[in-house]
Amino acid sequence: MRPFSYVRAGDAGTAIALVRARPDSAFLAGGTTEVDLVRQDVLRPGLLVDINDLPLDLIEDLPDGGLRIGALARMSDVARAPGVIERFPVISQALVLGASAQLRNMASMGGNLCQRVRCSYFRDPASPCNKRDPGSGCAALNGFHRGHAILGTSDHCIATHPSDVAVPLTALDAVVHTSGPGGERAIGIDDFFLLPGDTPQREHPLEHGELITAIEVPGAPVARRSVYLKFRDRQSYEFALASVAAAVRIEDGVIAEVRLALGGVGTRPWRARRAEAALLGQPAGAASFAEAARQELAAATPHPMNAFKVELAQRAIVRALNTLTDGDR
Amino acid sequence: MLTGLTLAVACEGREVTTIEGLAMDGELHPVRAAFVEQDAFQCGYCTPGQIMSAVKLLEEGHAGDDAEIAEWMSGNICRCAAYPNIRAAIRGVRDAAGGER
Repeated sequence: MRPFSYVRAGDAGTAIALVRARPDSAFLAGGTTEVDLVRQDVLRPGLLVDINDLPLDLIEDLPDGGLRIGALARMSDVARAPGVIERFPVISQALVLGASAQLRNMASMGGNLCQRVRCSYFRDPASPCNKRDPGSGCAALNGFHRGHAILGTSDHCIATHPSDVAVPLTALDAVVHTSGPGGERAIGIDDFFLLPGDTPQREHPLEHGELITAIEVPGAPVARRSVYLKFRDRQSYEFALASVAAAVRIEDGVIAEVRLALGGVGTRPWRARRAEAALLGQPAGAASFAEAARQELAAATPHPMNAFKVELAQRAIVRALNTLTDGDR
Repeated sequence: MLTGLTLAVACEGREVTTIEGLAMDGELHPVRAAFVEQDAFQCGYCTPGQIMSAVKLLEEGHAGDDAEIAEWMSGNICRCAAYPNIRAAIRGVRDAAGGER
């Protein structure tokens, strides 16, 4: 591990100014990804600005039935917040199925959105990786890519976005609030996660020194009936091969409202808009679920080792919708 | 928390309980005693972490059945695979605590 400086900031303005002042500085929140990557020599900060003392850990119920989750709220606290369990079970479930108990106690919600990919080539400084070292190439394309993405890939990067909770946040149109050198702004989650394209090193639109302060989830009655399903190589403490966040409202046997997003298969948390469009107005049943899933995955770009995910993701969508609508049919 | 992901400097001014800190007046903590009784380790490398996690798991009430214990202990990997014995030790402490939970 290389030497670096460490400072604990007492307020957001100081933290932002400290990071802003040095190009090689970074915020330190839960540290569950960042410290790992510093130890592996993947990240080489000159200064870490510890923001854990900032008062950004509130979890609030909003008047419209939504949520405002402070960026430093821990995953475990959000998972057990009554308003989350009651109105957004899909968020609570995604959190509990992520990482391990200890990691959930440490990891912050803002940090979760900023976590880096699990691609073993990104995490190995000796391998080419366009994300870590732009222009060096992508070792995963012709390497071991069983866990890699099949949606949103490019010729420069096929790393999967690893977050679980970002999947329901994407399905529910969450908004990321930030504070930075240019003041405060709100970024819709669709604009927050960037596709790799030819700049895979750029994963979100945050400027250097721009700090996530909160995540807002708009009120969504449909989310009261929602579920997060996660499929992986072992039953716990493992990243998804495919996962689904789903919420649905049925009226007279017909799908009146649906939210659907996929994890484990995309270079970003994947809003399944094609499937949503295909489902609206259709009868709730196996045939319409399978057809919607087929349409969503028609755009998949699998590689030899991860081609199984095309079928797995479709089955996951069907399973989630079946689980939610069982009582209506 | 996990020591491998925690910078020591970030703990300045904070209280940290380690495995040694669990001892009570020279007596083994009940969870530690149960690990000895159930032979819940082989090489011992992972044991401090297993015990610290088990103590909090019991405190937080996540030891309802074996599946729940396995899920909430999954962050602690044991390469010797002493898992059945670790679960037995946790069950033992849970049951000895009786209706306190």
